[in-house]
Amino acid sequence: MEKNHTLDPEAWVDQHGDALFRYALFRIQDGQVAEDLVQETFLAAIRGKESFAGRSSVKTWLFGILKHKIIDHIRKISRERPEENIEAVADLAGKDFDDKGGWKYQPSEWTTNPSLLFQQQEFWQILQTCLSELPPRLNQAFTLRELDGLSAEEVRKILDVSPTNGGVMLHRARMRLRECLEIRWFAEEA
Amino acid sequence: MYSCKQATELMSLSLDGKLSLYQRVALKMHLFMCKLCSRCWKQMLFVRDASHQCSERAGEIDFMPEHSLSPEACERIKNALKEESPP
Repeated sequence: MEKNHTLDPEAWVDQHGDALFRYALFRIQDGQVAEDLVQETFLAAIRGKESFAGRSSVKTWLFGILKHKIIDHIRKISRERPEENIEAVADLAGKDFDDKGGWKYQPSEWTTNPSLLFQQQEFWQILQTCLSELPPRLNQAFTLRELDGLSAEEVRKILDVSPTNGGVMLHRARMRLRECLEIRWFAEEA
Repeated sequence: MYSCKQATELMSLSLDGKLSLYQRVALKMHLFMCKLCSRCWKQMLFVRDASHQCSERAGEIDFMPEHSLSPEACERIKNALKEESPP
């Protein structure tokens, strides 16, 4: 079925436009930018459609292009707004720990079976909520590292920050996400 | 001896493959002795694994289900594609 549509870009928009837009919105949280990224994705796809070998589905191929567009966009805004990097590093310092570096809020025990959890749409909604609640730069650092699979070095270059600040941002993001999932998912479940 | 705060910083660095041998050993010892940090470490690994799954399933997960590409945006994109397409 899908093969019939591989050379019909207008059908791509009808079939995959919403899914691409939602993913772009999830990553960038700006509707106008998300629309532009989707348009750029389709244009890149049409220019490169000869190289689409059909090894994956059209949807997977389009998502691959969109992910590169998202990374390029983050690289661009990081250069344009360096002040947000400073805010990200300064934000939320030491919230979990007392003056001596001991736990102030103790992590609770999570009992879960990940293979069942990952089947639940509700869990992904909560993860999206937690990611969207991170300060933008922490969100970008974390998603570039763990969703796009870039190295910490690549992430810090895209965000235009020092290795130390890149490490601090990833640490903060991981701690905030851990805490958010604990409150929004695991405490609710218990 | 690392504090719990420092231990969590090392946990994060270790996920990015940036620990020296000394730091690796010190973190391992801290985790062996500290129940709360040991929990935090498992949870950080869970967050990482969930994020990898989220990426792998990007085409299946309903991201932002309440949002859609507006009809105007659809039209605009289709027009841009027509202009780009060879006749």
